Amino acid sequence: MLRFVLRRLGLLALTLFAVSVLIFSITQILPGDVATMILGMQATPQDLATLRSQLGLDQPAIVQYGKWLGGVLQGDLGVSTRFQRPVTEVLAPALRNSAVLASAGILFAAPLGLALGLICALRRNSPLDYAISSVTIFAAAMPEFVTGGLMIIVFSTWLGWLPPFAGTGSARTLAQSVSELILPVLALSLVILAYILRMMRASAAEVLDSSFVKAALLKGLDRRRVIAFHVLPVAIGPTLSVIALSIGWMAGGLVIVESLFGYPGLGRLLVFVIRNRDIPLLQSIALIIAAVYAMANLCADIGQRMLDPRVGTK
Amino acid sequence: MNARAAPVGVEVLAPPVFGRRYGLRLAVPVAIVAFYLLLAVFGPMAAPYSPTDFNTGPPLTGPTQLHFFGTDGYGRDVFSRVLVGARSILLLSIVATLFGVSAGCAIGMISGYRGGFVDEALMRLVDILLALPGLLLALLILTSLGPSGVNLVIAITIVFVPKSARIARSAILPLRGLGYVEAARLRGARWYSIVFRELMPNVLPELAVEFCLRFAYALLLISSLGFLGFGVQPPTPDWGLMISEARNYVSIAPWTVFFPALAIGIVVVAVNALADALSSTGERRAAQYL
Repeated sequence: MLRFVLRRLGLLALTLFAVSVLIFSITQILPGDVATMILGMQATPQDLATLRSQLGLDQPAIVQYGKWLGGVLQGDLGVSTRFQRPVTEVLAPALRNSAVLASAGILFAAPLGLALGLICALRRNSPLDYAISSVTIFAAAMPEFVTGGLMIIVFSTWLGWLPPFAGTGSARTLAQSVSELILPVLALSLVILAYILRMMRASAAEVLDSSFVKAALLKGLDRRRVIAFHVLPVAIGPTLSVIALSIGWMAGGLVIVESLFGYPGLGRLLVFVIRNRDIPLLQSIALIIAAVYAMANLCADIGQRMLDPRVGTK
Repeated sequence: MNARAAPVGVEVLAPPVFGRRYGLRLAVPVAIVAFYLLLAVFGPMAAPYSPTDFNTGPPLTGPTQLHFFGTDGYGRDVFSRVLVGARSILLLSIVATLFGVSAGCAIGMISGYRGGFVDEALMRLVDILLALPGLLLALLILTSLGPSGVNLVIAITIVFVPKSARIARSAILPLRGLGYVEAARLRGARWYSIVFRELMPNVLPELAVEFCLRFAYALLLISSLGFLGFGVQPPTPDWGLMISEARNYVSIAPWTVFFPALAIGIVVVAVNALADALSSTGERRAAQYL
């Protein structure tokens, strides 16, 4: 087990290194360089040259990459060209806001998806199962801005229950902040809720039909005990990887949902940064998202091995 | 369906959407997709107004007999814009999916058949591309290339190649050692002839499902990128962009958001349902494209 974890950690580091190269090279071919962004269009060529050498932009790409990576490893992400402040300072509040949104989404979608998936598997082909499965096929397919937009129309425009924007700073009380979060969280987690549910239904159904569950039932164990201690741990295994993939999916979802609701998180910052060609900030955000995504996948693999000892022993 | 593979007591795991009737499960989505394709071809001719004309009526008026879907903030006819918008998103999605899935499947099949160093190198490359979530990778590529239809196709293709490669590779792997492959090899067939003439016909059903799922994802990605402003540029009508443009007056003119949202929603659901009907193990497949 320890060897497995260590090997996967090594692979993770390698992948992140490769991703950092990928991100760096994509941002290198961006039109318009940092010096022009800082000084504006009216800058003289001399000023531009001076600033470029100050920033090290006149050095070969490989040297620049080395410097950037060295900085990143020491926690120095550089200076945002747009905000003229350290990247870490700009990122911190956005990262916190996004973390709130994303964890609320996972905390909502994962338990609900697992529970509903198990119920569907236990009552396969019942009207309830048909109803839930039909709804999920719709929910899973829709882009977030479509479901979010429709929810805004229903809950905000027609019913007037919830505010159509979130995190705008207009909320005064805790209740107001919470009500602002409801629609974005729903829009963000509907897709992953559907996936978790469908995966859980499939894997729980498979486990329920397996011989070890039948044996447990036939030797007279209580049905509830069998479901809780025999079925659940094994059935959750494959679902965990879907939950981990969902975290990666959320990185994309956050960009959409935050833009839709005007929520001041990482996703909206990313769109802003791309529009303004703020390269240091752009590199950092992409790297953070890749790191979170990779770690989520790693956790899922480790979790699956711990829950189901058969995995990986073949 | 799939009755031959199901042992006694094991129920088929296909999602029971649209009841148990397989024919209906296939026919309804096919009809909807066909309708959208017709819309893409004939939509611009059927539009009562030019989609870019300002002041076809008073701005932000609700659905009337003159404007079935109402008008937007510039007084443009939402119905015409929805009709005309079908062409760009469907065309871009189909082209991008064709490129991405064919390239990915070719790479995956070659990688799976050849094995060894080629396989190892290609799959590590795939891992790196998969380390970034799809939308983020597409955004980064579009950032460096600039937003346009062609670049959108390039970005989606790059996003799709690694995923399709994995699917095709795992479809090929169990077939590698089979007798007919061996026979082809012994009679001196080259590797590309074995991959594309012996192996490919046998995994074609899987590749068809892959194409369908990926097409649904392309619709989702392209409309999302349009929504963020990185897709088709204004004034060309684009469903995603229409929603983000109308976002700020959703409280006074909900129809400007509602109808484009409906247009995207229906086609994406239909293509997904089609992929589900084509594959008997919908859940496992669906999880692959997250």
